[in-house]
Amino acid sequence: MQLTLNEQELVAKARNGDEGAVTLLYDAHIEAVFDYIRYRVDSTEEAEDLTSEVFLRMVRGLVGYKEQGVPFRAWLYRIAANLIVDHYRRREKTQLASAPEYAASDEPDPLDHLANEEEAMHLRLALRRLPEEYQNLLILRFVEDLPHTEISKILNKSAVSLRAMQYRALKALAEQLNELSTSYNAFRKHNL
Amino acid sequence: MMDDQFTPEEQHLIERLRAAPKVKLSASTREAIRQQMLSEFRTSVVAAQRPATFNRYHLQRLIVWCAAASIIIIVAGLLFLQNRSQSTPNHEATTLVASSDNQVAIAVASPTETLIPTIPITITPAPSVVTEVPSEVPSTETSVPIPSTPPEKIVVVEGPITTVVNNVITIHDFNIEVEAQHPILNLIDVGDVVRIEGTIGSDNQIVASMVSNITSASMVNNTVAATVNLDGLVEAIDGALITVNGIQAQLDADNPVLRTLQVGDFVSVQGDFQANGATVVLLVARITLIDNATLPENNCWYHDTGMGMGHWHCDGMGMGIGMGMGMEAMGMEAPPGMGIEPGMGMGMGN
Repeated sequence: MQLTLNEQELVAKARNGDEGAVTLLYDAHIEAVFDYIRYRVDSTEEAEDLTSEVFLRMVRGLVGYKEQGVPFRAWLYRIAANLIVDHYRRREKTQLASAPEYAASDEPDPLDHLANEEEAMHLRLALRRLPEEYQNLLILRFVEDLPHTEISKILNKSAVSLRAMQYRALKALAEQLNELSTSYNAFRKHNL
Repeated sequence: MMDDQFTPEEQHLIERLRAAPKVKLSASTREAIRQQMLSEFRTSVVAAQRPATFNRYHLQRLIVWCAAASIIIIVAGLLFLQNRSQSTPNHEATTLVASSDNQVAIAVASPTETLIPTIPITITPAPSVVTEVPSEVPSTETSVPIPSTPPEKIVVVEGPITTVVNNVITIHDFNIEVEAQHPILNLIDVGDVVRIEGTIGSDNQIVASMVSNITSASMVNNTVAATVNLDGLVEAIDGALITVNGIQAQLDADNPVLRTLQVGDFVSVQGDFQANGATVVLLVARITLIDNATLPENNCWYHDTGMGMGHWHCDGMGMGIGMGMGMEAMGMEAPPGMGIEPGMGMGMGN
């Protein structure tokens, strides 16, 4: 998706130091960026910190930003994706992945939550066990509802490869959800 | 584009993803992030704008300074060239000299330039003496346009050589310095009649810019009754004693010209030099006031010798115009190096 005319103007104004313009850009994208990050990290606090860092990097990069057919939102998602990668590198992601799912999460005990909250947590846990590009694709496509063209530009993938990747990502997610469900049931049975 | 045809299982999974409740960003957190971002914005983007403005300001100042410097350099260069053209002694300029009917043409050039005579040199001593000072005026008083601005003082001396010491020739008590390497020094001897044009140097010695021999016949025809022709601006009037181009000329006290003569008038004087104590005074036999209304505007004037011949003088301000006029009058092409030399135009004409 190309920048709309208004958004291009906002970016231009923001680059020229217009604080109101940068605030409008922030308001337009803060929720989507936060959602994306929240699906990718363990806790809300981590997501907030990373979201804040995304927008700090946004304003630092505004001077050098050039609209080259890549939507402004896609630029923000790229910043977020890079930050998440760095975030997990710092936390030694491999250890995190091998840790017990529920212990690794700072979410409250799923037994104390409503079913929909459990569902959300299951999905996030399952997603984070997928390869990074699968996570990005599934979140952007089905959580953020981005069109294929925009995802293609964010992930630097062709439409054909995205199609194949989407098929494999959904299949992998289903497998992870099954495993989590089995593990969760066993956990509940053991603790109850 | 991607094909969004999904299996029921896939469709169910997608619905689960889309329906999953999203964690909402709290208002306080959202505002905190906003403030943090704006703070960063002010220190990065807004600060980045200031140097840009600063640079543009300096660029504008730099352009203005460069333009001003260029103008100053150009003006200084023009002034320098103008001053140089005005102050360059004639003997340093490349000069083409065409003789009259003496069949001698000698070019006196700067030390690095010596033009080859175009006509074989023939030295013919002559008994009579003619000395001309500044630009020449026809002895027959034909029309003589005079420059509206004072021309550079060009001294013309004609007469027999009384002594030759190295490169200094003495003619009629005038010491004339000729370029040391000038070929004519090998050809002339005491008693030869030569014509010399030059300027008066700082030590009041004439510095020759052109030397040529003349025939006795031309001398006779040129001089008529007088031995000296002196053309120039009247610089001072003291009774019957006037100063023309630094030369004192003594008129008869009842000369009618004195009644109307004023400093600044251009006159043509013929007469004879006569010793007056330690100085030499030109005893005027005839003085003609030249009508300034006939002055041309090109700073050049033509001297008719009265024999249907003459030459051009230019005052050195024309930057080549004078030379062009001289060449035109001579029906000759200017040789290389002549075009840029100011004010030394001279040639033959009818």
